[in-house]
Amino acid sequence: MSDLRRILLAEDSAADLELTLEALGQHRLANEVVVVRDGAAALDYLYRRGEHARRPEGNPAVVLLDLKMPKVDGLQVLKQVKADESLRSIPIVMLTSSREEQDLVESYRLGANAYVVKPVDFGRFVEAVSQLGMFWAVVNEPPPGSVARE
Amino acid sequence: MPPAHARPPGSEPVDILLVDDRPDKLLAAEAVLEPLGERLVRARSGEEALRHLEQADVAVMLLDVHMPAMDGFETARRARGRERSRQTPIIFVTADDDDATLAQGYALGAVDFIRTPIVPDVLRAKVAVFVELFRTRRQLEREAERVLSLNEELEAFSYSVSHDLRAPVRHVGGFVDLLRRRTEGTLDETARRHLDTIGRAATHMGRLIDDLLAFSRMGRAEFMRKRVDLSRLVRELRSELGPPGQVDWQVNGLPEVSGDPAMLRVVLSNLLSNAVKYTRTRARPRIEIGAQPGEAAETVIFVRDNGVGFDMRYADKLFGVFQRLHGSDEFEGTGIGLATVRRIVHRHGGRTWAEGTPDGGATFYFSLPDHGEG
Repeated sequence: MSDLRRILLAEDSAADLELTLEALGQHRLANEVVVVRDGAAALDYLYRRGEHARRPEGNPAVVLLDLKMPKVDGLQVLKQVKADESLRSIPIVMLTSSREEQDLVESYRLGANAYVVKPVDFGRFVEAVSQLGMFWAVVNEPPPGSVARE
Repeated sequence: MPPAHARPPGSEPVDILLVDDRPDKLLAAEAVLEPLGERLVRARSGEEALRHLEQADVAVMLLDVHMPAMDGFETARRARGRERSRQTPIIFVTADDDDATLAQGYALGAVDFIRTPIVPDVLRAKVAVFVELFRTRRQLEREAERVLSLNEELEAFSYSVSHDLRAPVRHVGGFVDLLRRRTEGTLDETARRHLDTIGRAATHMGRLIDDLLAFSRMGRAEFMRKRVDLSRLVRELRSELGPPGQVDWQVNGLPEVSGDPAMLRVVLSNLLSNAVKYTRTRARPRIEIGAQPGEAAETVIFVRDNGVGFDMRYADKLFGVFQRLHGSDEFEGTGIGLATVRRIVHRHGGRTWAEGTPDGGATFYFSLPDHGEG
């Protein structure tokens, strides 16, 4: 696997984070994951400010965004990214515990590229997350300006 | 002897607005209406009456037609033009009962006339009717508000259930699986069995949450009435249920009905998968789906199987939430499916019932009212 690209994962739940990294790890995608624990930190990373001011340039190949997070939630991050000329081409995948109609509609209205309900069954969760990782970090050709490893 | 139209005990007094430029007439009206036990508000002019109508809801307004400056008709016209007093019932008080006066009054939205000199019993009875109407309407409005806020609460509740309850269930299942992998080959059989039990419990909990949410959604979701071809629906559902296996399906004479397609799909999906589940132990499972005559202007659909059946003594329990007549070790399930079926059928205005004998199969029925060409 030569051409791994960076994944930004925004997830506030420690348990979900571990499960997600485990799932990505099963397909050797975990090394390329940058983890932030709330929406504000996700924006800091994308805008290269705060504690991410010194990170190398370039956008992640994809952002996996938990919908419910403290401070700035996933929908707010999504809204800001899609409203910004320099960020809007980054694919955003919403990750959520439930398929609530209002969240689904709102996510797509704001320009989400995908909406994934975390399956309760762990086997299916691993499958879903690793498929996501494989598709966005390996298969998909990202917009210009995305970087490979740091 | 108590007055004939007394205020119900415990209820708030409501406003009755008395409008007359003459204090003696106001006093007379007050004396007549006093026994009603409501709040009597006086206004000495049309302007004063309009000011009060801006600030309070009035059960009924007793309006003198002949007043200097703004007369009764003009006052009524302006009251009608304002949001808050648009619906306020007006009883005109007048000595003239010629047709022209009456016509003008009714055109301005008068609900009644009272002729002077006033007959006390008549005035009191008329006003009492409007007071009662006002009180009933206000009660209904409050009730509607309460239902609305309850609905919003329920909405917020199921939103948190689906988000916040699902996450820990997913964590239990996920970490049990990780633990299982990490301890592979090191645990004895009992320990492995415990892990399996935890995993199965988490999966079951996940299913319960999903089913409960579906149940709650079916009560709230918008209802879309269309023509639904039941035989086509059954065909689709059968292919979703997987390969036909050994089941002998008999599907006959299913009509087109009028109803919500997504909801009716849930109904039949539940009934069909139940039938498959409870005939699983049969050597020759047989499931029959059809229609039969019901009462006038309704269609009755039935799903009959030769499965394990049930004891009619418990027939009432079948359609309740979390009610199961079989142990979950015997037949898996959450006990919410038939409750969802009943809820949907009720929303269609129909009925559900079932017949069965232990070990002798079961028949589930639902009726749908005919809805013209709907």
